[in-house]
Amino acid sequence: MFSNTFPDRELISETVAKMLLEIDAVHFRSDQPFTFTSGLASPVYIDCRKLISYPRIRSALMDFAASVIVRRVGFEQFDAVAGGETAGIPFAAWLSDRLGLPMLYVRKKPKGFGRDAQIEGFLKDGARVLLVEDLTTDGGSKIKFGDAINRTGASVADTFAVFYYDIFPDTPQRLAEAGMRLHYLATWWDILKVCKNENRLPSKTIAEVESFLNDPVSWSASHGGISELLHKIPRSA
Amino acid sequence: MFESLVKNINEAGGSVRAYDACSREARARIADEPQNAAALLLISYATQRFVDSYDDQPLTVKEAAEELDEITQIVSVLDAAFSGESEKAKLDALNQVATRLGAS
Repeated sequence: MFSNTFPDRELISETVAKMLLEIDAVHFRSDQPFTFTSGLASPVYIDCRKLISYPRIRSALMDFAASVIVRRVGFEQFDAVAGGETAGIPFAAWLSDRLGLPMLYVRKKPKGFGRDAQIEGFLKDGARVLLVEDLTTDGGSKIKFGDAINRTGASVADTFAVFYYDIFPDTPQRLAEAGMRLHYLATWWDILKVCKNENRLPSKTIAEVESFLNDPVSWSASHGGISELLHKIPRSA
Repeated sequence: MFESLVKNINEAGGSVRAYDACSREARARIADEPQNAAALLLISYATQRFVDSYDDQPLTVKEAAEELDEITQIVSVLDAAFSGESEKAKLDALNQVATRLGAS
């Protein structure tokens, strides 16, 4: 179980941002931008998968996660925790342990047949599931994983990610339309704040990152990426 | 014939989602175009391979452009052969693309 302490939310976000920077999970590269799954060009990339190799950090993260979730949702509001393949699986395992709940995972694609062909683990009818992934960009994968869980007769009203990009204004609305509330520990704005406060990056890099975070689509268009976000996510894919 | 399949990838900035859509579209067309089935299956395979490699993984804009160039060339080879009447040219194109995919 988790430590049953409830740190200040701002302190959690700052600490998580420092953790991610400490283990070099945050990458800045404006001269050779990254391409996201959506086709968006970006000067920043975060690799939350690195967290799994740092036991002290991941343990603190899971305490933070449990704290945020029970404070925002409640102590007895879930029957299971589901990880989204692949990066969400370890975080779902640790979080289910913290919350004392069964764990399962959701495949990206069905394997086998039947309404639970995307689910591994036991999921009872009507179960209230907390969906877990490592990060959230535009919420597309959460909608697909949520649909897969909902098709089994269970339901997903809450989803958790260690990191939320918080650069696409319509993400909360898209998730709300899919019946999901998003919970997270830190965003790019927290990373930027720590970098600024601690002078971790050259001012030119900070300016470039800030320019992207404030208007990602325009930054992308001028750096070889897409100039329009397309949300063509098949609900049943 | 096949070039419309990669047009959407290009317009979507070589995004993983566009490759995924291309892979599914190519596979869906097989039922209606049995005469092009082998070519469509190779296109579906090539684009799905990109999805499997880069879904949730970073790649640079430069790498994305190189991957897009590769799939564009593959589709062009198939398109040129299957737009003609020569069965030998079609078979040669299929083997050429399969060899290319098998080698990378």
